[in-house]
Amino acid sequence: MAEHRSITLLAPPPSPPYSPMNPHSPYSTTSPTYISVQKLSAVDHLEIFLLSLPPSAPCSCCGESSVEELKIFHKKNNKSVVIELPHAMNCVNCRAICDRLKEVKSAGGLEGRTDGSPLKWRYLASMTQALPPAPTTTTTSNPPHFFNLPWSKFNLLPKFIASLVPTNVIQLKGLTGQAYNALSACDVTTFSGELTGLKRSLKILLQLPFYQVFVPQRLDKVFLALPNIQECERVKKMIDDGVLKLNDELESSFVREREIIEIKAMEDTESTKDVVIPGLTVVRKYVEDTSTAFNYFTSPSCTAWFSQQRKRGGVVSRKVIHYGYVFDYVTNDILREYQQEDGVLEGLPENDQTPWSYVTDKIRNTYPDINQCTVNSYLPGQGIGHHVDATGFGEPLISVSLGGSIVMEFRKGPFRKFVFLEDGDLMSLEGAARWEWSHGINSRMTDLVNNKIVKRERRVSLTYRIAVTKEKEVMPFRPYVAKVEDAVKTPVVELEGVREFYNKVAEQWHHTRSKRGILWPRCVEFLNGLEPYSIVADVGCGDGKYLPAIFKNGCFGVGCDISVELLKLCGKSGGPDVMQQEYDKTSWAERPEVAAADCLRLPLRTSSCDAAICIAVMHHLSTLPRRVKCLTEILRILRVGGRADVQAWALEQEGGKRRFDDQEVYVPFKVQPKYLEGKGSELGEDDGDLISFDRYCHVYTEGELEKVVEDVGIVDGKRWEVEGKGWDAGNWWVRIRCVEVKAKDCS
Amino acid sequence: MKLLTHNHLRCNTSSATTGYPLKITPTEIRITDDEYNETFVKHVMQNVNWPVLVQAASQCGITTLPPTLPPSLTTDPSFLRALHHVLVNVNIVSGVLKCPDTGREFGVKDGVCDFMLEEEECENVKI
Repeated sequence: MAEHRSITLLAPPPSPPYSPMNPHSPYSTTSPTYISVQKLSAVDHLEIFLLSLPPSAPCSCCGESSVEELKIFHKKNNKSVVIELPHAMNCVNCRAICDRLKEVKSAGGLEGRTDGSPLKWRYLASMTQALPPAPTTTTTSNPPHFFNLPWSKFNLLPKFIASLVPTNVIQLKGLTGQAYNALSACDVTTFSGELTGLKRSLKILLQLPFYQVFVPQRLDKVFLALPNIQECERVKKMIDDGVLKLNDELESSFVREREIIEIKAMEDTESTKDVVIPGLTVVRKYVEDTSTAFNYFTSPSCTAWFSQQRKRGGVVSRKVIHYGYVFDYVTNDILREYQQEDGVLEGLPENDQTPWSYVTDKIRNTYPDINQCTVNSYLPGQGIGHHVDATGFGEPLISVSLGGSIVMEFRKGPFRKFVFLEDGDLMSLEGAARWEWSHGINSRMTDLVNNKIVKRERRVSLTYRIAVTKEKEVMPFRPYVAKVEDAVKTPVVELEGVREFYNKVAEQWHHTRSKRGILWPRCVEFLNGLEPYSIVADVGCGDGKYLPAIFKNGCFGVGCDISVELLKLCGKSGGPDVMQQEYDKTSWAERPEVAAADCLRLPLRTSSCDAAICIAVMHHLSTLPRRVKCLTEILRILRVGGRADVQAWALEQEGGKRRFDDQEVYVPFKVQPKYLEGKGSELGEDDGDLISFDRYCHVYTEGELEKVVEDVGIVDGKRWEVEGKGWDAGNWWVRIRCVEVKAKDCS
Repeated sequence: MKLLTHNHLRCNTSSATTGYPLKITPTEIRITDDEYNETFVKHVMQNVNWPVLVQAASQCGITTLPPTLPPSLTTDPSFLRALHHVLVNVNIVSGVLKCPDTGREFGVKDGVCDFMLEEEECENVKI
């Protein structure tokens, strides 16, 4: 293949109009026009790109009637975006786009960066305005290219591909992960001198005027979105001629509309129309007049929206309002004593109190117990992660959809169902639909309904629920009366009250406790403080709730638990989605390393682990020798210098939610009967609609845990040393370190 | 159940003297393709019992590990890669682990090994 000696750079970036222009004239009569939008995050950049462009009138500046070409440039620091419109500012099409931008911005689209700073945008008289002061000698043959073409590694982005209906998307087949990493890491401005091979190809590729690169997570495909079909053909020719050669198998192909949809793997709602979910009811056009309520919530003057509600791992990106009770996304429970800033807990408006209370009244006619409502605003492209609603809410859950249509996805294990909801539809969830199936909305710009692509529009959803009030939360306890047991065997109270309990309630336990991944913050702190690549034993790991946190720090986690049913819910097997996402991020956690074993008899080698955690396990041991044995085993498996974090329920509690009258107690856990199908419910008692199961607990008093640690004594030349201890939110905790016993320590 | 984990497992019955290493009889093994991590391998290598690893790997059908670990190999990148693969990518999906002292067998199902013991096999916990 012939070496190309001189590399013709393709279509150099549109040369900034260095010719002097009158910067004061509000409307220039020459094209192109530049709009600089500051503080625009990368995701919003796409929103602009995908704005539905207004129907075009003949253009006064260039006579053409289409406004297809919208070039977008990112500044290298990703802090702002420059949009180039190939028309003059006074041209009607240009103005229409600017008006559209303004409209989207004021309607709440273009939300700006996630730090909440407001969006700023302005016209630029010329590209030079956005450039740093130009050096006096600008005799370089290549005009300085101050804006790096965007190399955005949006792993999410294949979702957006379907919105690019034009066929100016090209797939680079055979691009290896290595080449892709090289591409995304390099900075073209640092390339200089004679370039050969990969670097040369990269430089060419990087100077193409393309919009975006889309790369799915598996790094097996790369898509380039180019401004028009001619550019596509040019790239294709370069690859075919060998000018652009990223590896030996690089070949290109155009991506057709059909392929875009398939690549995205967007599923049609038709595909699941036969799936029946018991308890799911959809009433079409339940609300006839949707515009009053919708306009109330979407008007710029509506001040009811909560600002920046916190959740685990960041903030909730969609806007929400809560009425009645506020839902806290961090603890996943209702905040029972929450008050808004003006000191008033706003109840659910009814009877014409607000423009939208007619919706509430209609629903309350049928369901008078409804006392909570969450209003969600979804901009095109926003969704909500899969979840089952918290147990703080009863049933039914009622959701009313206003505005744009959307596809809601239900999942249970391998099963899926898609439900298409339109303006005014009502969806009610109870029974299996409410407790067993999780629901969520995909974050993307379009949906596929009956083989048609439906674009997402702004949508407001009202979710009405019944919040379980405080009085019902106080649970009655039955103190456990200890019997004299033969200490050799596992006491019956533990067999029934711990092992059988967890095996029976495993699924509901997993759904409501672990699915959302709410971890004990002190334990996470402990794990983050470990040396990376430590071997960490999770004694009593349950459904592996802490394993993702262990893996995240680069450590290798091994878990043990007595409940086989809980272990089955670790990682991919049956565990729904929050855990799934955590696991998908770490390569080792596809199948977590867990074994079924009693904490008193760990199947681990002596001194094999660097750290251990024992969370919510010690309070399930009914006699002191057993508790000592558990900590002895942990001491045995740790190497000298290894550390452990132990935590158990305290007798001393705060707040009204839970009270222990005695150290030996049975604590009830209520389960929906349907979760227990096939598992037998002999242990449980009927409590209205819920079956109650008792679990045995021995709750600790102040100083008791440390005494147990002391009682461990010396094991294999090692003993415990207490590094820290305390009480936190109803639990006693100790941090202990395994130290070598020196000769003088022996008594 | 990765080979790295197996290296740290032992039989937990009271009658076993050491109970280590457990003999693997795999019926299903899955090889995954996890990313190579050099620092991890170097760190973990220090605590791995080498002869046990070699034996376990050969019980899983991998016979390419050297019987002893010469110091020169510990910095050889291609060796480290291979070692990483053996430690982390070889997963025993189902099979049996057998104690060398007592002959007691522990089944592995779906990657999860069952070490739950009958009461008679446990040590006495004195009051």
